[in-house]
Amino acid sequence: MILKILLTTSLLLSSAFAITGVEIAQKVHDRDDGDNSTSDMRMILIDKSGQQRVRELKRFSKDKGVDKFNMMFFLSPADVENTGFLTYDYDDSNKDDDQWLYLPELKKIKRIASSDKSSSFMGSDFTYSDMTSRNVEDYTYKIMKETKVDGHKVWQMLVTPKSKKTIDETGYTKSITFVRQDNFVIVQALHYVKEGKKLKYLKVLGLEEIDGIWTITKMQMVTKKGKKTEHKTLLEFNNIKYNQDLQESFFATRTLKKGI
Amino acid sequence: MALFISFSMLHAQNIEDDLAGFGEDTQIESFDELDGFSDETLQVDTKEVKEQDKSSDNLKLSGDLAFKTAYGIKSHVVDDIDYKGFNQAQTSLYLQLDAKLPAGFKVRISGDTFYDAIYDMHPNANYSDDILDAYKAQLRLDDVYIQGSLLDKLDIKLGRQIVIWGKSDSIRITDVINPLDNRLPGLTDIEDLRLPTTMLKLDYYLGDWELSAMAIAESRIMIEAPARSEYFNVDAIFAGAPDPFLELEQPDNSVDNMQYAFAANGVFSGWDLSFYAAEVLDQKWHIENTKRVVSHVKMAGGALNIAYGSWLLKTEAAYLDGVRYNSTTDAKNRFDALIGFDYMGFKDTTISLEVANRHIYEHESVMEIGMDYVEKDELQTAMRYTKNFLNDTLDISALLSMFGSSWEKGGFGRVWLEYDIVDALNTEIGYVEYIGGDKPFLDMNKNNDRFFANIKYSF
Repeated sequence: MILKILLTTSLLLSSAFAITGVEIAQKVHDRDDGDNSTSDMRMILIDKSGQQRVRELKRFSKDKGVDKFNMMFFLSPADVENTGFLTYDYDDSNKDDDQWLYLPELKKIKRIASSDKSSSFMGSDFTYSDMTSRNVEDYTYKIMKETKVDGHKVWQMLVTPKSKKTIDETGYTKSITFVRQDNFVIVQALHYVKEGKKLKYLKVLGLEEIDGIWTITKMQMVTKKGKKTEHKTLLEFNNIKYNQDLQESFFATRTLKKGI
Repeated sequence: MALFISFSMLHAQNIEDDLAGFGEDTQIESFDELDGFSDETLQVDTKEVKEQDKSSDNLKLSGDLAFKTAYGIKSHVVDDIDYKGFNQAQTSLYLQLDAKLPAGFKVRISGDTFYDAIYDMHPNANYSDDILDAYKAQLRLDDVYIQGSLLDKLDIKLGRQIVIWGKSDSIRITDVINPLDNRLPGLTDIEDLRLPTTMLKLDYYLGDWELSAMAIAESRIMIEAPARSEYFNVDAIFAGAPDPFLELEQPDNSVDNMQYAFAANGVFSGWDLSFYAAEVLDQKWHIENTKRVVSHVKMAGGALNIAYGSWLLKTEAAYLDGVRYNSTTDAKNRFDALIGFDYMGFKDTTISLEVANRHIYEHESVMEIGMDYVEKDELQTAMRYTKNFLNDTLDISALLSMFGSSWEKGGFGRVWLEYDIVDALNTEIGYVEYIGGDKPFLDMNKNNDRFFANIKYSF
């Protein structure tokens, strides 16, 4: 009897959502996130004692078909100024991204072997996988319920990696994401970290429509172990501009070496 | 069934507990409450930074102020001076001026100075003038160059600069352009070792390739530890070495001494390939007519990087023509090859291994015992481990560099940690162990083990 009720409830819930989890994920992936963009990024790292470190970066981004080119330069603090980071983020999950790092102290461009993206992005609570797009087909999606975040209707979805390879690459065993129903932006996410049984809470704090593109202007990631906050990162984006005249040749090691 | 329901309910309860974390952070530990750091304050800070950037857009002065110290743990006596105990108390200043010129050109002028008070703190030690010149004080120009684009695909860089060849990080095979500062071997990382050299460098970009040509006008050679100093106990190597030891002759900056170099660097998806050719001053000296001199060598080589998953394969090869040694009259040819990898598959960790072999053609047995101490084939191994902790505020590193197929010739091992106290203020502490062996140049330092520390403020 109980089984019958559970099955009936599941069927009713499934039919209640006019869209499936994977369709939502695909729409999130396909959402127009702008092209030929430049922005100023400010990263505030806060440790558990409240001590802050601030990193400022200049960011450039360009689409090449389904792939994405990204270039970032540190503007501060002084000891990492002019450090550059270039990524070719390939949509094909079978192809490793290309990454190069320019260290001004070393005066050398170094290629980074990139398949493990679970490492911290520049010391923040974000990982390299958080900073690149995920492949839709690498996960299963289950709509848990419809709810509200900051007054907006969202789908709450359980996102589970299909393979151990994806878990190893991202460092997350599963995630619960909150996708806004009106614009398909993930406004909140809870990631279950493989190592140390930690939890990471992503929350979008600023979302604006710039040139018709829904754009995150501020977000935070908080790392917790149990209920205890270990570290948090606030990311701010300013001077966001789309459709800039960025040539493909700009996204090259030549630019890393010359600086901006 | 009851078990299934209980598990489902428990699972659902766990997720709800986890999700409560969003609320806690915004309600209890929100950014507003944490150090009074509100969103509003952040926006004010951002404006201030932007204004500062604008005002200093075309001219920027940066640098660092540092203090370094070291403590020798063993009795290491050279020329009647024991270097046990504190043997460095160096305050240094590095300044760098960057200017942006019209048409995208940039100018950099940098220089450094240091003063080591340890030589005042040991007034009874009879340091030679060479030692005081090398270690007590310094004032020098480093990078001085102008760079820009002459054409859409043609860049120029003129002046004193550093050019790095090769893919390896710890062992130099094709990295022959700039000489090294060898005053503190084993104690200084490669990034602080290269000495900029005055040259004209042109880079032309053709598809995935960068073609470079260099004409090097400055005949700058390595800076060596002075004879009979803590790092060059010449009497332990050369029996009956003259006092003062043979002068290291500085070559003239002349047309005859001009150096030339060419490179083709290809960058592809998943791999990089480079070809090199150069006629440059050698990276080591040899004795000639009662002087230590550096001769020209010709080099042709290549380097390859292949990224696969978390592995980065590194290979380099170089053929050197005209390498001079102390114990032979004729120059030799040498083939240097390296293979290695970086592994980045562990979180926040890089492990690297590099193994190189230097093969001397027409090797003579006298080279093994007299003045050179080099075998026909000489193997060098370098292993490096770095792991970041505490959101990149703490880096722990270890480096082992050994010579010989079974590491019998000696080398050194170093462990150190770097900690960011606050932004732009970091400290480093570590220990270096010099490992003795069959190679006298390395064995002479076997008692020179030391702890070291420094603190650096960057601005």
